Amino acid sequence: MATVCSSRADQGDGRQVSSTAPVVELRKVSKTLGEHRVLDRMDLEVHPGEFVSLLGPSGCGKTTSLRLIAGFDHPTSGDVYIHGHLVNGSPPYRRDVNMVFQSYALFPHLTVRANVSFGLEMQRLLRPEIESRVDEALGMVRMEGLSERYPHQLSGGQQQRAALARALVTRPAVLLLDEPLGALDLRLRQEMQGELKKLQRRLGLAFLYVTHDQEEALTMSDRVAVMQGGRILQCGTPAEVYEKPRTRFVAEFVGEANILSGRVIGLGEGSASVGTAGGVVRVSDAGGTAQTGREVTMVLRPEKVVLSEASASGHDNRLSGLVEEVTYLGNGTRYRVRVGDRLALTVRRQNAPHERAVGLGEKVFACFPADTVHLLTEE
Amino acid sequence: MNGTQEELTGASRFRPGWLLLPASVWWMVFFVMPLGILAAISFLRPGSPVEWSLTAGNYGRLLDPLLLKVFLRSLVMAAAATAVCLAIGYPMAYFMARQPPRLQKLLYFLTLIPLWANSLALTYAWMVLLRSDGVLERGLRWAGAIGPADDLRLLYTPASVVLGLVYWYLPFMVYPLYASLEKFDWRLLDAAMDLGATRWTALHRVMLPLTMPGIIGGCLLVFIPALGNFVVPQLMGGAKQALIGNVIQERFLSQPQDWPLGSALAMTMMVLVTAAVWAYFRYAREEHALG
Repeated sequence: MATVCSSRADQGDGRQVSSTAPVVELRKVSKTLGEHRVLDRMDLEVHPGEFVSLLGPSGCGKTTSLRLIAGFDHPTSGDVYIHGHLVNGSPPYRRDVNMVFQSYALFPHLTVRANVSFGLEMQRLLRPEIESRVDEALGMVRMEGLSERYPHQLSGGQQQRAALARALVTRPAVLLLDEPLGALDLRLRQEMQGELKKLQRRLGLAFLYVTHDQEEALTMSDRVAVMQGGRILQCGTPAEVYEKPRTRFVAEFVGEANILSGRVIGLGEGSASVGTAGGVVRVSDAGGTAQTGREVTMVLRPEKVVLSEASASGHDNRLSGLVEEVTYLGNGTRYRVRVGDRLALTVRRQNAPHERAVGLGEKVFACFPADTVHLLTEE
Repeated sequence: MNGTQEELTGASRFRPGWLLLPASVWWMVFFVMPLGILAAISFLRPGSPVEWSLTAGNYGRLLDPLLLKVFLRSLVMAAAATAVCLAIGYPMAYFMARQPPRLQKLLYFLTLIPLWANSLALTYAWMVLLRSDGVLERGLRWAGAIGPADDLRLLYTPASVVLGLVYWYLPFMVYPLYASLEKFDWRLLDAAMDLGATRWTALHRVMLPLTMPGIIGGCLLVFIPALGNFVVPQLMGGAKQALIGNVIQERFLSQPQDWPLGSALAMTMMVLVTAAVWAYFRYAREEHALG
């Protein structure tokens, strides 16, 4: 399968991304280490001002693709373009991209200021310009007051900011970020997510962001590319990837998913009926991919399901079941509802006011409209 | 990082002072006392071997131009040996540190081998190699690189002394260098190149300063003993290449004996070296007020 990951004209949030040439482009890039194929004919485009995430489990090739773009590694086959120029063999110092490393890789013998000015000194700029641009970059990440500190005198979050300033200050074509928030604790991570996104919007700089945290990828990105085994399985806006996953792996990696499988037993107008282990499920099928008698796999997100005690009407699907697990999550509750011998649904509900708690062992109906069930097109 | 510090303080609460006892006794008996005796002799008049009356004159006698010349030659020789050790040792340590861990251990082990053999015997081996009509010259003659009557005069030159010193002390240069390169975070080179530094710039702007403690340590470990070495200059340098170590040795062992002068020389060397090292560390601390 060849999934071309290129930006669409209309982004999910309604913003128009100009149809200019991509700043970074990978064409059929493969990387083999010994017998192991780390990247398998990967295609990717990053456009100016775009925030693209590479999302996947460790070992899926996401960091390798960053290193190929930065120039630390070279592709076994395929081409890497930066600003339309083929850069396959060129060393890192000739590439107009900068990287924010996983644990920052700040120079420990240099102050924050000297770290940040390093890239500008390499460009042999004049001292006054270096100073003013360093000040500007430190201001952007709110590190003005700490410029004379050494990295080991900084907290994790401050080191992160310093690394960001160091990479931003040379105004690269694209910023490569390798799990930059991985070492921070949850609160700081969420705070930095917001800040990074704001900074990226303000500078209009393209970000290629590697993460294994699906929430991070969904909340920050214009586009998410889900990777596995050296390939991009699916690439699209966060909403597309979440709502319309193409494969089971994507569905399960990006958020929680109920996977329902069964055989098509009837076709309606733009919909199909599928016999599952929990009963017949109606699924909207505008694309007309379903054929009677065919085995299909469907995805149902836990938050799309409503639990009701009576067999309320107004829902396309009503599966009766027994609550076999209740997990309190703070802002919500997760239920495990057994709807058949071989099928239990995960259901997520907000802890909203006037919402009657459903107890363990209760008999309930799991209700969900047909258009919330998504038919997988690939296995 | 705070966690580690707390753990350290926690662990260091158990600090029984008596663990220092054996070392203290050893140092008192075998280091401080001989040093005291040496210091005392340096203030006595020369006799056979000493005359029991105090004088500071021995230190004045050190300003003898002949001695100053030997001292200067020793500095140059030791500095040259240190420089050659560094030039050979740094790439070697770099190579070792970049190997996979298992190979690193093997290489480290291999560099230890010269230390097991008797260095005096090894020095004689070098003489066999280098002397006129020695192994090296015969080999070259056989290969036709030099004529049958050519004498390269490899031995008994300043170069052969430096060679001998390098051979003795190279391991002492490699260990501290390897220790600091092994801790070096190679991603910093990636980071530097990513920011536009060529490989060479990355090495000297990032790796060199960060491995400076190893460089300094290695240089001290080579320079200081090389300065006082008397076996190599005696065996491989001949009469003309005497170093300060030879002078000290002779004043104690050969006629005419002059223990007070030898002691004064030894004390002065020690004070100079200590002062230089102390000054360096002071400077280094002020320069990089790290932590």
